[in-house]
Amino acid sequence: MGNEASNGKSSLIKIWALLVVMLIVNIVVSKATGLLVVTFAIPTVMAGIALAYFMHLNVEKKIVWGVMTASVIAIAGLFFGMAPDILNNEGTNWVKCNSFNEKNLERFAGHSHGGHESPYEHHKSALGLDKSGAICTPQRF
Amino acid sequence: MKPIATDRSATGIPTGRLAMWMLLPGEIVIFGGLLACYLVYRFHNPEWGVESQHLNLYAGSLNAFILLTSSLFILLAQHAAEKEKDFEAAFKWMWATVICGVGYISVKAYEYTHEISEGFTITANVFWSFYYSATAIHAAHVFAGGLAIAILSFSVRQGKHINRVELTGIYWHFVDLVWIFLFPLLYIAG
Repeated sequence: MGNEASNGKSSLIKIWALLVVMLIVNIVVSKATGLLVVTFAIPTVMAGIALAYFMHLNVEKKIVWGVMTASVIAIAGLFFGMAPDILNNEGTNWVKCNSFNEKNLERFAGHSHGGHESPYEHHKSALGLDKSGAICTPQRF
Repeated sequence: MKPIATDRSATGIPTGRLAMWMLLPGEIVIFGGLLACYLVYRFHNPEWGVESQHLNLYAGSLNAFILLTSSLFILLAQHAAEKEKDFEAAFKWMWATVICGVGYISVKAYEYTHEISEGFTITANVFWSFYYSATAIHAAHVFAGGLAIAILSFSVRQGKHINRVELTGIYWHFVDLVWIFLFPLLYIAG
């Protein structure tokens, strides 16, 4: 019994040590490569280990797996549902307002307010869009 | 006399543990939603890598180590309470976990003070808005978990509610997992 208890404890400590090593590897490799994929992949593996051995998900009933998986799928749906709108600057019938594209350039390049400079002219250098950017409203992002 | 729900379970999982596993998907949606939104904006704004340079990587790494170690402590508490029936040891391990939580919040408070004094407030730009929202909500969860473990420790010392050590442990491991994702995505990415 005493042996069993100390075996259980030493397994926990070994898994903790493994997670600490993976944390250090993640920091070093992510800093070195700068890749978001790497920064996300190693924590995912760490999470799997913690879920299995710390939270004992590896011996839990299937309903628990099902509920956890459903919530992760919901978040994945949120990400992939939003991504096309956020990551693109223009679509078939729309243009993102404060982004550099040809349509915005045509709309705002020559626009002026009774002799005063246009918002585009006024703000383009502040936003680093001196030669080839266009904005609808003056805002930082 | 215990409530009837304590003994009855259609799934075969003890009620308390089932309730904790029902809570966690809600937490996944909260933190996952924030992280998913951050990721989408991060892909679109590679210049945020410059903003994240202003974060204290050493403080973030220390916090990650503190939380990982605290997860070990709560596991050792559970082991002491359930397997060894050493309730005094379980009490000490639970308070070691709480102290780690206090340490985490202290480091976070130092970071916030330093960043705000440098002018990086929640309204500085969208990156900092994400940073403060995500880390503050996480810190609130750490505080709540630490408080629950601290309160439970006194019952456990008397040999009562031993099963709840595992339940608070599951919650605490989840809070640790969230930081495992938050830390590299905010502090290191880019």
